[in-house]
Amino acid sequence: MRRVGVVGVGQTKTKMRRTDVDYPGLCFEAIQEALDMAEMTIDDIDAVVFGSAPEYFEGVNFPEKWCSDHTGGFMKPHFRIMTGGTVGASTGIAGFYHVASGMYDTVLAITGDKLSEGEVQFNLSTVYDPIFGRDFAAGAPSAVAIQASVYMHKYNIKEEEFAIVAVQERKNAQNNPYAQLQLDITVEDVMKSPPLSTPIKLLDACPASDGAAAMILTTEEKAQKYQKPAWIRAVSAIAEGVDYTFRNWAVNTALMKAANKCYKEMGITNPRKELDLVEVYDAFSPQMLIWAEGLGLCPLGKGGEFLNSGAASMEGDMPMNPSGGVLSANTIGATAMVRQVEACLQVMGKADKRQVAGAKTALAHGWGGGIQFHTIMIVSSEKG
Amino acid sequence: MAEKVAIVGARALKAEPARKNIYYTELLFENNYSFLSEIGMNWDDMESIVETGCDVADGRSISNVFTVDAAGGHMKEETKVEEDMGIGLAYAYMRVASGKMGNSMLCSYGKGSEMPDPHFFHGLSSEPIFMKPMGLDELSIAALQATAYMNKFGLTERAGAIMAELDLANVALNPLALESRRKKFTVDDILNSKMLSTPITELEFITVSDGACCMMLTNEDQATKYSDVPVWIEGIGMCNDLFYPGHRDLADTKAISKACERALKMAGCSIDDIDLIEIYAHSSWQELMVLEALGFSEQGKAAADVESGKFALGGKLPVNPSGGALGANVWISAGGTRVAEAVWQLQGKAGDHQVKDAKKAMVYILGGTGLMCNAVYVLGR
Repeated sequence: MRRVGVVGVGQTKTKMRRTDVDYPGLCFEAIQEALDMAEMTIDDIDAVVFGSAPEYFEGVNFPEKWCSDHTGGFMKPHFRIMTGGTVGASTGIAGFYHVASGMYDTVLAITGDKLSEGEVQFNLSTVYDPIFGRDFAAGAPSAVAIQASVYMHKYNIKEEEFAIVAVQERKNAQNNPYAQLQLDITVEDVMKSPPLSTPIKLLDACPASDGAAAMILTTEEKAQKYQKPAWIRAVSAIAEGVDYTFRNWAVNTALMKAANKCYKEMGITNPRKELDLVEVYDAFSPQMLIWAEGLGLCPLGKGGEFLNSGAASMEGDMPMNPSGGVLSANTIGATAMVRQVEACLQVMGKADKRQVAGAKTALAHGWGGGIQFHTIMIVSSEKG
Repeated sequence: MAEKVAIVGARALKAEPARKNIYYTELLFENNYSFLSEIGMNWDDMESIVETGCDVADGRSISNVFTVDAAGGHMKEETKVEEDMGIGLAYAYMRVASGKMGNSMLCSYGKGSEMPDPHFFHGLSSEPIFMKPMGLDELSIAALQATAYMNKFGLTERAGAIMAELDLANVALNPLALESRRKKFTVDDILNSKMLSTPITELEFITVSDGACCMMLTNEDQATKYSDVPVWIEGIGMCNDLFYPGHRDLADTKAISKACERALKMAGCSIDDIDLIEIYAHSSWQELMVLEALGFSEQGKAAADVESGKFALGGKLPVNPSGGALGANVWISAGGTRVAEAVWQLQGKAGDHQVKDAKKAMVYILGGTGLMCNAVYVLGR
């Protein structure tokens, strides 16, 4: 199989509402940053793969067609991936396969959403069954509230343990110029914030953002000309059926399968030791604990203890989300790719104030759908 | 060196105007589940699945949330391409060609009958501020395009009808097509059918239907395990034109020619090696333009070539032996079904519309509207 390296990444500053650009313009900004890093022009790109969350967010069907003139699609292959919350990661992974298959040498993967254009939770409520489920208007917070409740009951976890995540993420975000919520808050602030869907409170939740992210992936031959590319060492995207009733919400089997597949491929036996940092898709703070367990960073049920110990802070042995994570910015369409972009920046040594010293290997995670799609990408400064 | 990738089989449901008795996930289940047993594959041996679908078609956000288990994707490597299955094929190919995946399902379904206005589907893909108020959809763009094409080459309205006559003659032989279109239609019948958007008449245009399609891709090692006649994906070429219809000459098809050139280069063959062509487009007019862009007719001469019998089922180079999308247009599935038809032709399983001794097929797939997004495949046995 061909090796694949990432030689350019780009992001836009996330904001609640970008009134100065339209959706294609937003994508263009991220692409320009990625091209600049790779010292390329759009003419160096052989194919483009586009990803965005449900069409209903911007109200345009097949939005990749609309964006195509701005994302370099003219006279190139250009199609769209759509897998819900994981779409950013699924698009990065699609970029990987574009190159790994031998079809294309240099590929641009671009994702983004302009959530300010629509009613996000209204649209997410249409995920549910049109006859039996839609009347609940559950959106995303209520689904994750069920997940969090099951998890709390199973392992006797307290809400305060989630609040620690909410504080840590916003603290990390202060070092990330692309983040939207750079808050200086305490556990008490989180506990006192208004409830959205018990046990989730306002400060346990991600914001809705406008933003885009891009990656440029290329062959081994071309990537090794760069000083420090990020090598994609393993990818996986596992889906499980959305069985709300009988599923074990506290233990995500699809996540474990995806992670273990990647670990096996790379010969990783102790992820906590062998990974230098992870970027997880924590749309709501309880998920940080559950994902840490699913990734094998701590035993099942010990996510609270793990977070409490400070192990996942910037000073800890297993930093999680140096970027400030999804709790600090969530465009949905680009969010899972931002995890990959941040992982790449870290192993490239270009993460500035949020750099984990000496980071060599980083894992990026995404989840989507009814908490049923899980994606993993592991990148490293070492070709392997 | 990339792995060789084979399609070991394909399956499609008969297209119907409305499958009122079942839910769309059941359409998918019915087709995919039957398909696995037909090719003798255990569900456990399927590693990956590429779904194709569209949230707007389903009236539902993140449509694969509820289709993944019906499709057979539970605990598999799964992803979704939000385009026609014929475009999704390129990505399904890449995943196997990388050497990282073996048996990979590619599937689609469409239940357009649940959509109150079928033109809403593409009408909603306009740029929202300047284009959408004009009500441009796949029909009106195809009509503007047909007019531009007529004017450029001095053709009359008969040209589109001549192409449609060929398609519909083959539709009559295709048991999977809509029954309402499986009749004998003359050029005059076609010209006298309801005018939809000048110059396109009802019988020159797709009609939205319910159905599903799937196929299985795999690597060289496993290809002969599931089929005596695996069909190899030899060439893929994709190329986008500009999005705004006003930014390009709608009669210009250089993006299709480019896609074709890429596919032939990858396959290492020329158009002279092709035994049949399947085309997914929205109107018979676009099919004429595609034939010219692919190089099978001179510019402006495709209708004359159709009239000469060159492209008929018994002719030198059969075009749309299945009848193409005029026989049935299941949103998201229709392009994939053209690929499936080419696979059956190469496997000798096409029944009444079998092209004798077909060895190599070319498939053209339209994505979006107005021949903007194009994919060309070369398949061989």
